[in-house]
Amino acid sequence: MSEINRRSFLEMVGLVGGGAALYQVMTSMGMAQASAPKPLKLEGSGQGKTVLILGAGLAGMASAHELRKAGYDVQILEYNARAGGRCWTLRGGDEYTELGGFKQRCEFAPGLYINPGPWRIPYHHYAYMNYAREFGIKLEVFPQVNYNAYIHRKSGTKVRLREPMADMQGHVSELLAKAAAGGNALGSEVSAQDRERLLEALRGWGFLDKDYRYSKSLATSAVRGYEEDPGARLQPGVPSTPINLQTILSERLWADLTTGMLYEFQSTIFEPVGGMDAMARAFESRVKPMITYRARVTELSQNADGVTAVYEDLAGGGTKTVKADYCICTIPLSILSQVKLNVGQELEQAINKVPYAPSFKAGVQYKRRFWEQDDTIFGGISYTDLPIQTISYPANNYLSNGKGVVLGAYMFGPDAVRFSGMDPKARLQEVVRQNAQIHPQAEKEFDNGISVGWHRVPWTLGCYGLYTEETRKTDYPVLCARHNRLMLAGEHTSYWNGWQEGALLAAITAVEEMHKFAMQS
Amino acid sequence: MAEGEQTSSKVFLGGVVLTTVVGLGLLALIFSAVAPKGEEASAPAASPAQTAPAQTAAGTGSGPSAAQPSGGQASGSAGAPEAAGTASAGASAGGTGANAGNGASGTDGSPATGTGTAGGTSSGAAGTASEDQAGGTTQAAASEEKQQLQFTSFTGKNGAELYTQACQSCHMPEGRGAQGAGRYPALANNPRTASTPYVVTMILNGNGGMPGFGHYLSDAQIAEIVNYVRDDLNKQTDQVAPADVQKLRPQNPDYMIFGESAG
Repeated sequence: MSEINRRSFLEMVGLVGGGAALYQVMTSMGMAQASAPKPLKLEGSGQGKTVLILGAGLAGMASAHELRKAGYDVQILEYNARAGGRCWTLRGGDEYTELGGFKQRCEFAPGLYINPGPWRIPYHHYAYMNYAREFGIKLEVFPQVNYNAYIHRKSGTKVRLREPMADMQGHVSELLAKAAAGGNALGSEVSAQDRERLLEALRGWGFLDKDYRYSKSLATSAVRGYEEDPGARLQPGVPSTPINLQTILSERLWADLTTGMLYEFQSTIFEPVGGMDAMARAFESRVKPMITYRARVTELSQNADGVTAVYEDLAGGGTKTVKADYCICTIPLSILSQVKLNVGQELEQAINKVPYAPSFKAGVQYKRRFWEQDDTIFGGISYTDLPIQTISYPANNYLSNGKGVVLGAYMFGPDAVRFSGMDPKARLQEVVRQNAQIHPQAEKEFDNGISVGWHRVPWTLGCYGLYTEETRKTDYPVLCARHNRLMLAGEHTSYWNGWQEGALLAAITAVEEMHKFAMQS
Repeated sequence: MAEGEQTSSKVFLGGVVLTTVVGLGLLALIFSAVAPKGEEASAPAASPAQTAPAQTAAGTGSGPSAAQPSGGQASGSAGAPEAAGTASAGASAGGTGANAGNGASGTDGSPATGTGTAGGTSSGAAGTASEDQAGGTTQAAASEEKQQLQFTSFTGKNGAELYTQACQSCHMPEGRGAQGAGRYPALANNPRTASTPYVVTMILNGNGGMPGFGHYLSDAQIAEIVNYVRDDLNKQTDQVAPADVQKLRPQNPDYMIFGESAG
């Protein structure tokens, strides 16, 4: 149900039935009382039953963690020599070899890092938050919206985010106030009584003066910032000049104002202290004895008695076979579609229908934190229409005199494809060149960097599962269902694609369903 | 990479023909979206026709006048027989059964799969489609762009350059391919490239984990790439023309829009 429809429906209920009826309906629609899902508690014991888990990312390890608590005998096969999958952090000393054999060594100073995969945790990602609480993972605030960060255009326009934010709101309010004051323009949309209320709202919400004008003043500067800030004694501040509406529209400055308004990015949004892989390490320390590393799964089949996986032992050599009563498979579909499968035709076909999204990130170490020292930007994100799309500043060690690592590019779409196809050295050069168009200090202060193009990542061949409206209707339910002794789990079996929450929710629901099935059989 | 700066703009360059076709589709879509609103509220099991959240973020700074590589072919114009041929070509040459790609089967009857008319979303954030059938928080915004083909991202002047930009990230320089937990097939010395429709269909619609590029590459660009792959990497000298590509575009395209955002 769309938001507009939902709201008009509620208005209708409120009019007819009053507040009590409204509350009742809202509760039954699951809106009035949004409550955090509780940690999983399974009734009954899985003792004596075996579960094979494919993949030691968050979905695989969360599954193992929960199943072991319920008494199951669990084994995990993992392609990499480390656990965590896309929950991943690169630090100084780390080496990363992408497909094609291009090898990079991370040269960041001690304590500095980038998260090539997910890097943010919204407060409403309850599954993640529950595990963070259970494991004692420390979170710090991720300043998603920084009003002092830049919105940059390759035309040369560079403004602080607060400026077009205030100005767009102001200009639109002024226009609408003119229309409302004119009477007929809004027709029967607004009653005479509401017209007065609307004008009052526009004045407040749009920072308009008593004549309903949005103009250069100390009042509007209190929102968009000053030419010179207020100070002590005889310094009231010097007002700044609003950006005119035409520029906001032609430069599309409004387009970068809405990201932080989206539910998935709203405050409070977090990051784990010290790197995203804190969650991976916490899970790994609990399930490590169950993991066989460097195991490349080549075959997966099931029959009435159980599941069988064949894997290539990349460490010791040779081919090995594992049998179990049940299987939770978290291998990305981009890989799984290349595994020899005998798990049911419908599922096998659906596995083949999900392409993976391109994405590209580059972490760049600069010799000093010029964004703080010169630009007064502390954390958050600057936006540009250059291919790099954003520059994100570190959300920790503020005011440090040492080096700093920014996320110098976070790209999606065709540009991510293009950059992923470049040599790592050429990518970095281009990223720094584009960083310098927003921060001229970048060329001089550049130290080193590392980049990850997700289609070059050997164990995912892409960033996350992409659905069309059609495949969401046809193939997605098949991928989500239990197929006898096998269930898939990962961000690809969730509506939180590309988020760790999707992986964790998918794991929890897979464990619940598989446990229920095991208790019946 | 001097051209790098020019390629990120996600403005609408769909062309007059496309605009007209899309416009007609939109009229139908808006009509169907507006009509059942009342029922939708009380009956959440919405029909597929109700997917438009009436987003009308009118794009500014966009215009159909800018250069477009192949002259704005309306993707909805390919006939049904061609679409059917596409699917079977992919299946028989690839030997991969039903995975000829998204939309290649031509079974999706609805002409307009996108929602709304977002005028390009440079950050991908402008879309707040709260009821998107593809769903997924990361895909809501992307689907709004669906009706506007974007042939501006890849700027290469010939097949080799376009291959470098669009294909090399996976299939590697010189079409060498790669092997990790999964594999990217080598395109050099690949007997499957003998079938022209197979190569064209792969690029248009993707296969398995590979997203289709039908939304992002024009007929002329695809022809250039196919000729590079077949001629330079496989020594097959017969050439493909943009018109050959056009015929293989699905009748009712459900082109994959690459994701625009993630956690």
